[in-house]
Amino acid sequence: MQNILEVKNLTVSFNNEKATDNLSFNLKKGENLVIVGPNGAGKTVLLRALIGMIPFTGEIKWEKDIKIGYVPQKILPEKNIPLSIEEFFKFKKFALEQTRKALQLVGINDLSILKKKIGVISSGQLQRILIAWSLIDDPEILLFDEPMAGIDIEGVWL
Amino acid sequence: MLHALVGDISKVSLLDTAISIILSLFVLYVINRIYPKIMLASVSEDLAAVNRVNISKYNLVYLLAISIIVALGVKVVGSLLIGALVIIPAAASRLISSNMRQYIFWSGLFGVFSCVFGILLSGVIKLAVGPLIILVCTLFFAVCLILKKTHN
Repeated sequence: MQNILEVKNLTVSFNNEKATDNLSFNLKKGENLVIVGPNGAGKTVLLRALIGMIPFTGEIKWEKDIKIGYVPQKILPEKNIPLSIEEFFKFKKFALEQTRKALQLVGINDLSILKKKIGVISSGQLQRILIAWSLIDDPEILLFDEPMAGIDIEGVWL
Repeated sequence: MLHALVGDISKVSLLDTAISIILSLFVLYVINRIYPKIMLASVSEDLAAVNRVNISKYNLVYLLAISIIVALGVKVVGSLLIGALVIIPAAASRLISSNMRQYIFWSGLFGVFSCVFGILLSGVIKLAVGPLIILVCTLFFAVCLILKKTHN
């Protein structure tokens, strides 16, 4: 089966300190890859390099036009940012019914959350929203960066 | 010199007005096209990047749009006060808006009403238009701040 991701000799450095050093791996469709390591091991750095947010040396080759879903470890929207959850989902141009289904997948059944500002919901709720947001357009690959951070036990089991 | 600092609406010709209207409509169109992407990048640059938003390109377009608006407003309120005219209506709107649609609506309304009331006020008390427009803007901001504080 063809690789959907090929990483060759990936090195990311900050101030001459290497966060990832000469890393190489391939990923095929349907495969799961779990990266485990202590805080500061470079897990988030690796994912951010994969989505092109951090300069690196080496090679990262994605399958052409692949649809990527990404759940960051944490986003910190400004508390007063005038953006509702509903508008956040509209970035992906999906109708309310699809949004409702995506929210149900992450255990959110009360749609009144859609009217709330994105900066005022709890970090656990925000994390669930981010997971729903990443799933809504049926991506071909999902990158999860500690997606359960801040989610209660009931949510983790979902 | 004073006109450069605080502006002079009497120096705005019919041609200036026509150019301002055309460029304003152009900026409105551009902002309407790019605002979802700019907003997504302001929530999280990582999420924007994954959704193939070219952040630096949209930031550049956004800054160009702002610079056009600043250039248009300098003649009316002057170089000293144009920053205030760009920022205060948006800051006031942010205090009372819970979503993007309200934010855009109230920002525009405060900006337009500040200019209209500022010009009318200038006719009554015979002072420079620019500072009076900013004074009305500030009044809107103060009212919104009080509304937010009482609502909380």
